[in-house]
Amino acid sequence: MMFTKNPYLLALLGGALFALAYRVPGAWFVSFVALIPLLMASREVRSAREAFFAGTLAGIAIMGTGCSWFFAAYPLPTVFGVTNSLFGLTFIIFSWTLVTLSTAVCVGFWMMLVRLLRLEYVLDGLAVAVLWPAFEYLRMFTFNALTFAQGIHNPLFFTAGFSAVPLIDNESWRQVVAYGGLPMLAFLLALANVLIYGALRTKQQRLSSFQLAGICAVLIIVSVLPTVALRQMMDPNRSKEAPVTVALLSSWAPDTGGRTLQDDALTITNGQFVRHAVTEHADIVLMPEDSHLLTPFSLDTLGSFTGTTTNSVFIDSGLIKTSGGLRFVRAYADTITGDYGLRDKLVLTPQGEYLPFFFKLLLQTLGATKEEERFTTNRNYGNGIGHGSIATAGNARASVLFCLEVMMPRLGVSVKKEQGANILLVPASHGWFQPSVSLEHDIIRFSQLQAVESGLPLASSVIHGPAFAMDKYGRLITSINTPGVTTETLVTVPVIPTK
Amino acid sequence: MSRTMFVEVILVRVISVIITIAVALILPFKLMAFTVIVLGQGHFLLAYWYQAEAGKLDGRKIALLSGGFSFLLWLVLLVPVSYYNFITGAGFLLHFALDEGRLLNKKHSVYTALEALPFMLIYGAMIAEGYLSLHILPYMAGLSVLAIICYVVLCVRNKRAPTTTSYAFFSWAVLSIILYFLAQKFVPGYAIMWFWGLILVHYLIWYAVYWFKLSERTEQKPQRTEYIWRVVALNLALVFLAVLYLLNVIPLLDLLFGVGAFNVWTLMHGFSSIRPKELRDLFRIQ
Repeated sequence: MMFTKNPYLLALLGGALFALAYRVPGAWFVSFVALIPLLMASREVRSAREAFFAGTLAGIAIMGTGCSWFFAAYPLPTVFGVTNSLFGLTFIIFSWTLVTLSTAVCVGFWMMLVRLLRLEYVLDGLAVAVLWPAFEYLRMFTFNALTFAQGIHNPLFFTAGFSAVPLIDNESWRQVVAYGGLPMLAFLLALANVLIYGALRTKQQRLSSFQLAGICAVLIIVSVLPTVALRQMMDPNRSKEAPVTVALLSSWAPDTGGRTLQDDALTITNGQFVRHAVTEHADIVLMPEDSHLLTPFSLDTLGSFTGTTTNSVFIDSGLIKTSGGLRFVRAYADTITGDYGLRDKLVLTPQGEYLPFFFKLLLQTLGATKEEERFTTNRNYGNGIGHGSIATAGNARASVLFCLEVMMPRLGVSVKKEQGANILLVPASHGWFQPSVSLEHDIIRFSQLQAVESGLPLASSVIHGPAFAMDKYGRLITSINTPGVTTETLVTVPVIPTK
Repeated sequence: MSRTMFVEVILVRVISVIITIAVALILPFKLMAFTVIVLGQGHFLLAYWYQAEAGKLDGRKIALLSGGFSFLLWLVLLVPVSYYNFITGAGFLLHFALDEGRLLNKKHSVYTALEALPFMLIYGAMIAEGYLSLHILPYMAGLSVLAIICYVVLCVRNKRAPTTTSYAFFSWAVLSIILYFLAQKFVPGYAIMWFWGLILVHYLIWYAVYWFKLSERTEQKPQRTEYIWRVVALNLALVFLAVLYLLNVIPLLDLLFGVGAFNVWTLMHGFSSIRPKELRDLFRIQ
């Protein structure tokens, strides 16, 4: 059988092209043709079942790549006292397989519908392009169903592996996100694929060449268009921009010495960082997630810690236990006069690197009651406050997004709307991960997505990863990361002062 | 007027309006709106069911409707809620008018279009006021008068007597004005309630008329029993799901019973029931 007639091979090729675009830096343009083999496969399948399996095969390639950073996670069983490393690795493979399969079926469902459409009609072509992002969003639902665990808040957020994410790497295409979010970008991407596929199918060779040349010209022009400059020209608030200085930290614990010594070392370097930042008169001192350097809501204020009078605002976060026994991961602002809570983390489900329900089941089956108890205690979080207070410092009105919350579509938009923020701060921790290039790349892309979508600059401090700041167009202002070495920087970010 | 016509045309509509007013008086507005949403899903599902049975819902149409659904759902995120509500309201008015014309007159023409226009303009003004705070009722009333004049001139020129459709649409328009002002007087801020009421009226009329349609064919008694079972079972199932939704057991049910999703389902229902020929007929003198 010819390769172009085999739906499974075509589907696999489509999935591989998406994976290539997703993981290879600079290969974002491959996305514009990655869907074509899938469309071809949809014409070759002979039944709904075949369409489903071919689509799922492509989905496995797409999602398997999107979740590849699962393998950089420290095996959870080890963290919870089950020291058998083989068991840990098995569980990561199990998690990755299950998440990949459960989300991959959505591509299968998409192909089942596409098979029913007649791609020579405009309306049908539009339906294909609209259904593609719709079924990508459906993956968030299947992920949530899979990672469900009683007592753990689990909003829809899992955008890993989404086809439009690679386009974030291109400055021009990234700006599209401001006018319709990730679905708009995915829709345009799918539409470009449908149009190219349509041109390839045109029987008149001359017309086909014209169509192809036209589509390629449009794609190239948009890719190199100075979109940011155009947006800046149209921005009525541009002249009102004012600076905010933010101190950022990329924190690395020493490799050896055990957990207590690592924590002590981190506390010392974090303390030094805060003292430097205050001396440099930073408006905001942003700590990585869960640093808990100062004890929140006590007399332990920034002034007493640094021993100096300062206008800086210190943003930290950590686990808070209420008197009722509820547990939240809360961000708080600490000033010279006192401290106040900012926002509680929404995305609390362990990020797919393991599955809470299955993990507990496994511990129960193994009779590991002590570990199970510890797991339940440590992972049982409340919903917390979605939108609490805002931190004000100098020209900044800052809202906080935690770590992988940047993957949650429109969270920045929602926080901006609710709190009236003019800058987003992201305390993050990759402390559960070994250094992972793919994870770091993803985090920067998703942060860029939040920045452009909300129209706000964004700054992030991280444990075991890159600290960075970007403007509201998602352009990196600075990025620091030397694996194994703690580094800090002071960056000036332009914001629009608001009341 | 024959007894059948009295029952199937006038009585069905009068009883539907009375039931709706009773529901509006008994239930608080939010619960009434939620009832409309729950019963609406039953109405939509049954409509798709019968379309499928009649062979009018093939695979391609399902795929296109899925695309349309996704697109409209996406718009929920982008378009301000009040605008979306208004667009849905306008879409529902068109659907209601087309359906009424179809049920009463069997076919459409420029006459049915002009008959329905005053009703649509006045309701349009009501929902514009309710959702967009636009006070355009006087202008729409003026346009309605213009539409009536055009209708009269056309009827006189073509020697056409008013039909059941004419009386029905003018009655809807007059009734809507009365109920709108009553609602404004007694429940200020909730005048939009009557618009939701009209949606409920539409469901009730549809259920009754479909029953009569099956009754006309005496040999189809088993179908009537099946029809009742379907209506009851489907609505009970939806009520059960609605309870789960209210208890927040299954968040995904927001896609069925959330106001945003209901707007999408309503528009989808409207699109899926449009017959292109009918739209063309609206501009033809027949």
